[in-house]
Amino acid sequence: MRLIELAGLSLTYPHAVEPALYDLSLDVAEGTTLSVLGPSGCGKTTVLRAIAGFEHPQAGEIRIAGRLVCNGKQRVPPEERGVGMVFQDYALFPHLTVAQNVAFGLRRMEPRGAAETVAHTLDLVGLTGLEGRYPHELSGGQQQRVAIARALAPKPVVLLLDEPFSNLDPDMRGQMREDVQEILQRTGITAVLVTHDHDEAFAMADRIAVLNRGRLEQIDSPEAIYHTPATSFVANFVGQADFLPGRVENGKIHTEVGAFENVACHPSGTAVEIMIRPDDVHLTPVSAGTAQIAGRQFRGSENLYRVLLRSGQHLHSSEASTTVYPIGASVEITIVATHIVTFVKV
Amino acid sequence: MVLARPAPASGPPAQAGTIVLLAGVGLLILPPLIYLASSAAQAGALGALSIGALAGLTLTTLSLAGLATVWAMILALPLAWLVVRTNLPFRNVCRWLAVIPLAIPSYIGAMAYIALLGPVGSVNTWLSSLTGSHQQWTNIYGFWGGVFVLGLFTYPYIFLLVSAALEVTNPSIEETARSLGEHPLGVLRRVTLPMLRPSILAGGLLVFLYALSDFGSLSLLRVQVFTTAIYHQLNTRFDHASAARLSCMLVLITLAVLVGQRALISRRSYVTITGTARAAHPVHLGRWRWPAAALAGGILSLSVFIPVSVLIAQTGSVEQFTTVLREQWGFVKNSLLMAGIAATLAMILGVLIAFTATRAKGPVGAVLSGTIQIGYAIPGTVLGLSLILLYNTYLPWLYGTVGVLVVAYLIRFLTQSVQGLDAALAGINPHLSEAARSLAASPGTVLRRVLAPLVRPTLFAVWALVFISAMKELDATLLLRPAGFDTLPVRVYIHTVEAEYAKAGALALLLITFTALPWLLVTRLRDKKLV
Repeated sequence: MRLIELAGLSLTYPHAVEPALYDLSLDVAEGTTLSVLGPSGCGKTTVLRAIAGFEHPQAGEIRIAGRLVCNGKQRVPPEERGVGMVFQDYALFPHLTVAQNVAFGLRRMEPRGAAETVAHTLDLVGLTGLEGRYPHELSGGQQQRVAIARALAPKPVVLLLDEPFSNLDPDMRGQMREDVQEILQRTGITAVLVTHDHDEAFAMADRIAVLNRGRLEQIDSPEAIYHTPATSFVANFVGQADFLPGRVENGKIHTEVGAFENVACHPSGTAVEIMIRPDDVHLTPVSAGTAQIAGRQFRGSENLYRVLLRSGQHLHSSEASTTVYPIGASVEITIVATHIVTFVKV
Repeated sequence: MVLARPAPASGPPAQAGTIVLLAGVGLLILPPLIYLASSAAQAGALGALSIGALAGLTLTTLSLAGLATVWAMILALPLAWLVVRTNLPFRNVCRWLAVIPLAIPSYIGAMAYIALLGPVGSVNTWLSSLTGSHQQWTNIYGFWGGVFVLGLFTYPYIFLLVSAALEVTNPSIEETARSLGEHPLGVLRRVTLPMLRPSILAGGLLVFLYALSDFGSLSLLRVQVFTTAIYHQLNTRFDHASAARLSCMLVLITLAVLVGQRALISRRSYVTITGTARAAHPVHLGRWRWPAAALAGGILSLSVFIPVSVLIAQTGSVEQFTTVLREQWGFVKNSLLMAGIAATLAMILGVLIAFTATRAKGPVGAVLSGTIQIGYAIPGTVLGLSLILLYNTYLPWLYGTVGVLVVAYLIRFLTQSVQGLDAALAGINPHLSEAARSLAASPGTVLRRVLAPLVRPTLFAVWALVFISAMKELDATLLLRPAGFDTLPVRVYIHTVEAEYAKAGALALLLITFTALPWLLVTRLRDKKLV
């Protein structure tokens, strides 16, 4: 079942030239996690705030669990939408304790039920024992857990998370990602997570929507987003990619480093660019190869090489962490591409 | 941004200088208080005062200060919320106007409302001539008049703190409350107001302390509180011991309030309002927009438009204004001279103290600033009395001269200068001096070419602030001025007591101008981020 439906959303902020959102349509299926991914200023936070009811699109419709909450003219106020929101800065109530923060949205429950829900939710996020603390007495990771517990406690239809890990120390981030993933799985809640970090989106999401300048570039599974990006913007944004120029002839795409299947069936003579990911490029040291090592970044688990082709084009290659070639060494290039992605040159 | 305090400058600390300075400041501020306490203790426990009278006085003083604080909150809170958070019409103009009452000393506010609503004020006169009956229609004198006037001219203290806090409150905290099912009014009650509580308390404390120590407006409005009772004991009954006893009680009450506030704040130390780059969406008032504007307009009318109009109307014409001015020019000169001397001395002493405090090791800085703040916390009337008692006994050659006025102004306002300069010195990145030293500048050159230019705007600002305060000072001046040596506030007070509102109005306008001009200059420096 489609739990959240956005249809043709457009929103321009007062005094802004470009729209923050333009004709945006997407769905989120019940019980899944959608990640909205894009660079800063692409409108991804605006999408989240529009679903929560804090921004009001001038055109388009939003439905939550089949109920129309906003259609450009009328709108349901945030407090009646049943969404849980986790802000980037957590926005904990500084004057309330952990337990009081979590109980904030449970005012209509009878006190005993509310107390049970608070205890249960704090247990879920692993904060049992800290009920009486004030927010400023907690670490960043604990504050985030409180924010999540507070949003989950009233049993919202959907959980919205705005850049939830960006305020955490890098070494905390991996741990919190796993923990939040587990919380989402255990509660089976539908979630929308906004991020600018593709690793985070890959790790957390069932589906990813890539936004650029207020427009939807692609919505797909993480694997499809990485391996078969729909646009060169997506290809670039979700990981290292090089684009080799090529030309279609005799049903093949011919490039400087070899011929590839013309899977997209471009007509003969078309000038295209073929996307190459570093993990598809393999290097063999030879005395008179077609390329030269131009640089190396050691990344712990791998070596990322930059090689210079004869044409002056650069290509990146990911090699094992133990494979070390000196700068200037001559190499031969083999490309093993399981997914051939091409963009017509304009 | 908080920069590190400058590291102790190189070279041996000026030990002897520090000791002289400590002793000087101590001798300036502490002996009057000690002598006050000893005179109070001289004759019996109560002397001429009865327990009942004391209890009544305490009750009146505390309830007046409390009610004035509540009234100031009623004025300040809606206004702050409207100008910061809503689409109120003319909100920026309103915001600017809301601070103006700080430029109107409360005794001038009292004078304006007495001229308007007093027994021989314009409203009574007008209604009597209209109806032909000489009934008293309005009477601003008394307890409720005091509450009304004090709240009206002190609410900006709360307004400034609360509007600043509202501005930096993270809007996502309120949005979270909305998404957790709370209606806008519930958010206001359950989230916004509790988060503002520290600012409201701090502003309320300033108003409360002001009301406790005020003499001028309450005396004009004929309210019996501690300050006016002290004045009465001293000037009509010549009972120094009773005046001293009352003063000690008032000081003890002030101290108790300060200690109580400390306890209140330290118990709930949740003040973690963090700054945010995102401004909150203004609340759209809808059909409440113009009613809200009427409310804001009403508050600003009571506190700005009406009193200023009354002053102008009482003055009458430009001709009358210049006549009064010519007649009283000597008093204007007295005021300018005294305020100028006090400001200059406070600035010089402030530089010495701030430099010593930043360079000295150990608790010297804390002791200095603590002593200086005691001087600021003493009500003007109490300070006047203490200086009379002390100097009359031990320094009769100084008593009855303008010197004692300068001493009083220094004790009351030195803290303004020290705090401003302390902050300026602490705000200078210590690496600046070190960079200059590494570029081969001598310590003297560093002072002259690096530190002095950086501190110069602050020097001017603290001079102007002390000048303004001294210009407005009434309570201590009234007791300490040499015979025949009146200042502008004293003349305003005397003319009001004698119901000569035309003269009082003209001099009040002049006084407001003299204090507003330096204030505008300081504000411009602040806008340029120079102070």
